[in-house]
Amino acid sequence: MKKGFLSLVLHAHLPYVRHPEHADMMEERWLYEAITETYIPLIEAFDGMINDRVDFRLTMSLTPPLIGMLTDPLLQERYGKHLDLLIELAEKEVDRTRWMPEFHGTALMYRDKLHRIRDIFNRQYGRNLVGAFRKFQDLGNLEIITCCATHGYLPLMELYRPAVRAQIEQAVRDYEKHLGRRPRGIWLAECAFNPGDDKVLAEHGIRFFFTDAHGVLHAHPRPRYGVFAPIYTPSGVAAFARDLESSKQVWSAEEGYPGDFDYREFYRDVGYDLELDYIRPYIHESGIRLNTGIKYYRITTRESNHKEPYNHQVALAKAATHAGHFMWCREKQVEYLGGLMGDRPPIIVSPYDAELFGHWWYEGPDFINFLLRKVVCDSPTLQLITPSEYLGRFPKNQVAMPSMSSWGHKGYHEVWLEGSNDWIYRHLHKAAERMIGLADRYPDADGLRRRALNQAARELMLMQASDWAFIMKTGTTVPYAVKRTKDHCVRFTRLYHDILRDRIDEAWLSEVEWRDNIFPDIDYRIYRTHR
Amino acid sequence: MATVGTGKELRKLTKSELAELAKGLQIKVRSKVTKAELIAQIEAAQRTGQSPVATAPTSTLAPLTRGKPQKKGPREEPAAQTGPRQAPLPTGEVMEAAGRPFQPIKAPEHSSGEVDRLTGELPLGYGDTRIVLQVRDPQWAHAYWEINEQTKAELRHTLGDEGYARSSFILRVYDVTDIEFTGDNAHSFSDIHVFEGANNWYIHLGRPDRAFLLDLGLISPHGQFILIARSNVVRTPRDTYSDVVDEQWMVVDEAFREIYRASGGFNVGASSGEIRQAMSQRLLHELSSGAVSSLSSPVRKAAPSAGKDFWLVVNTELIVYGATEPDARLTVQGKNVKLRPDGTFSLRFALPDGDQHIPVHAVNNDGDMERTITHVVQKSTR
Repeated sequence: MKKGFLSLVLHAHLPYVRHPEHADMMEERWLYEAITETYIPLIEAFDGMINDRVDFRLTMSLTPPLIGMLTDPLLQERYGKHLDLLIELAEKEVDRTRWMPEFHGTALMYRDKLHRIRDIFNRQYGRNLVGAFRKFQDLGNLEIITCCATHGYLPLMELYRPAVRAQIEQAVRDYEKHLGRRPRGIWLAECAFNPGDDKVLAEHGIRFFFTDAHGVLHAHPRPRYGVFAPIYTPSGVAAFARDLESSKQVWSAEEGYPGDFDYREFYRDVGYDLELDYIRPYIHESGIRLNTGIKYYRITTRESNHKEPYNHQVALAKAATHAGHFMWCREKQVEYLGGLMGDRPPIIVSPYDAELFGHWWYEGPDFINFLLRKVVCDSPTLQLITPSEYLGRFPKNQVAMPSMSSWGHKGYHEVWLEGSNDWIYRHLHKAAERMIGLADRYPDADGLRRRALNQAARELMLMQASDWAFIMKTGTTVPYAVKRTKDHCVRFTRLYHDILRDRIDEAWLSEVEWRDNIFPDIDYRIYRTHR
Repeated sequence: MATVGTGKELRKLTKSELAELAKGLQIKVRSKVTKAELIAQIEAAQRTGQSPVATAPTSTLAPLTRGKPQKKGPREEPAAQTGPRQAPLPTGEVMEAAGRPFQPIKAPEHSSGEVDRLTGELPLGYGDTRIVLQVRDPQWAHAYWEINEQTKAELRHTLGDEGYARSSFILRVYDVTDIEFTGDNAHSFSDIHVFEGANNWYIHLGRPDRAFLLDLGLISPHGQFILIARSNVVRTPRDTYSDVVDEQWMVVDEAFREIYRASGGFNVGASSGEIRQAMSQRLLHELSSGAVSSLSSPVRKAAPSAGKDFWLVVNTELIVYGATEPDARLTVQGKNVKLRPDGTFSLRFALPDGDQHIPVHAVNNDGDMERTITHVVQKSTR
């Protein structure tokens, strides 16, 4: 047996940003960019390893809103068009850069890569990327876990236990629908754990979740192995803790790999740099410039705005070096921990936002690819493992209750509960209270009332997405987050009153169903107090 | 004119008329608001602000005052509560409200503009009297509350107008760790004075791993405490490792401290917030309908430098275009170019300094006739 285990976890999530009412909604590009830069490059890397018979292990959460968008025909159609346009631009760029050898290679790289992406999207997976991830799960290389139904922040929902339960239950149902079995694990939104939530997980057959390091470290009683072995909560669900050292190597703005000068610079994009008439078809229909994803420079230096041309081959070599460095650090860590832990080999859990790889760090999917291959093929010390496999191998673990925690700044709830966003909770709580009341009052509605109740449940869930509070806090695109919170609340409130008055306006309801179509087969009865 | 508040009627008004109307409804009007947004805001305000007077069926009020909120107090939804009481149980609340026929409120007529009623402003309150406490971290909690008009009236009645005016609102914070709180058995309590208009407060509890609850109340001029609402109980999280050791998994203290250190335990909360936040900003930046971007700037600078700054960027691009027989084959600098169906072509090149020889070569479909035209372009930067 190897001396220690490495469990890489990628949390793939985007808020539900589907807007059928707008032809060119900028927020939908969050999804398009993530598909082009993160999800498909990861799929390509996984397929590559499978072709090369590299038996890798990786854990990924696919959140229900993301699954909903990836399987939505309208968004698939729109992404297909988006990609066609991007390829048209990439082809023009090949011509345009012909006399500039310092850029021409990069233009060719984009063209070829985008063609591969289109092939993977349209031909290989028939536009259903969830099917791609499912394939890797069925092959045993990828463990897909779920997440709170709309990324609801559970500790700030505590007063309304049925609402917490509904976030979990809807997630489990959605997972089963798309992935053909029940989820074994969950990524709690923002890694936010509230003691007692584990019981809800246990009720839904979920066997493990993750906390930030201090969630497990401050567990009660004291955890024997720190963050290097999971603990069982009193309800029997395993909690795995994030390893801070490995996180920092990737995440840190100062020392992290993504800031390397050879890597691609995000902020120089042809969407901003090129002449307007030329670029107009590829930016927003209003003429507002935005990132197209075609960028020709490397980070170069931190000190000035001077940028050198990007060289993809040099960047890839650097990604390979960084993967080797990361592995070496984990090996040293494992060897050191071996002395402290006795017979139990340590497990190092390294969770990241999936969109870090590709979107923020363009070469990130290549880094993952190199790292997984290196560990499988070269490491005498480390073995890749999924949480389920680990629990199969080490079924006996200490029982302790993790501490309330999140992976947000300062480790608790401050990001989601502060001056910019604290106003939302009185509305979120009132809506949750009302939803539970409705479900209790109408235990078996049918017809129009049932539709209205189901839609009320959708509006509540969309309102509860932690993304809105997060965006308000970070200060970019705040109006959108505020509007989403208000819109869902206004729609919910009207549904609530209309249901109670038995005056449901079908035309209006249809409009809202068409706009906010997440979870087509949601059943509002998941909000009942007694089940 | 009795129907002037509907979407159809509103649409007939000019934008400035709408702005006037919005001001009358106490809606904040942004300078760049569109007409459609204004209409939506007005409709929303009319919905949430419907008071019994404004919706009385025999109303003869001037059309544009329809839906104007009452001057006093926040816009509220119909009150279903009576008297000062503790934070109600969530489910009982709705049942109670649902049991009432909602008499004073006339259901909005949506003969037109239903689709517009999808957005709007949120009410300031819900007509409840309640206080909710939420933990933020091991040291701090946040409370929000609402006191409905009825409760305020009752308080005024109890204290008299003058007594009420001279009373002050306080939050009484009780430490109720491991006890069933009966109102007078807390381990300790402390008072925080809040001003009457406040509806939320950050509270420094200062003690990790303890349980707390709050009473919102008034201190009368005679020093009497009058309870308005009591919050739920919260427990702050531990901020260090537990001192309870499980015998079966025991380890000597020194060894545990080493494990704790290796786990990053002395560095809690120094999490990856910085990059996640930056990433999110980058992901979302400019990719939002709310974002405003320059239409003309050819280069966006990566980071604006502090202080006085000026810059200029100039680039040159060259467009080579022309036409030949639609079925001809064409190369430019030896590379094939696809002709449009009408036989035209257009290529665009970034033009560096130096000489560019650009031979354009066309061969007809039969392959027996050809033409070559070569342009030479010289660019230099001085």
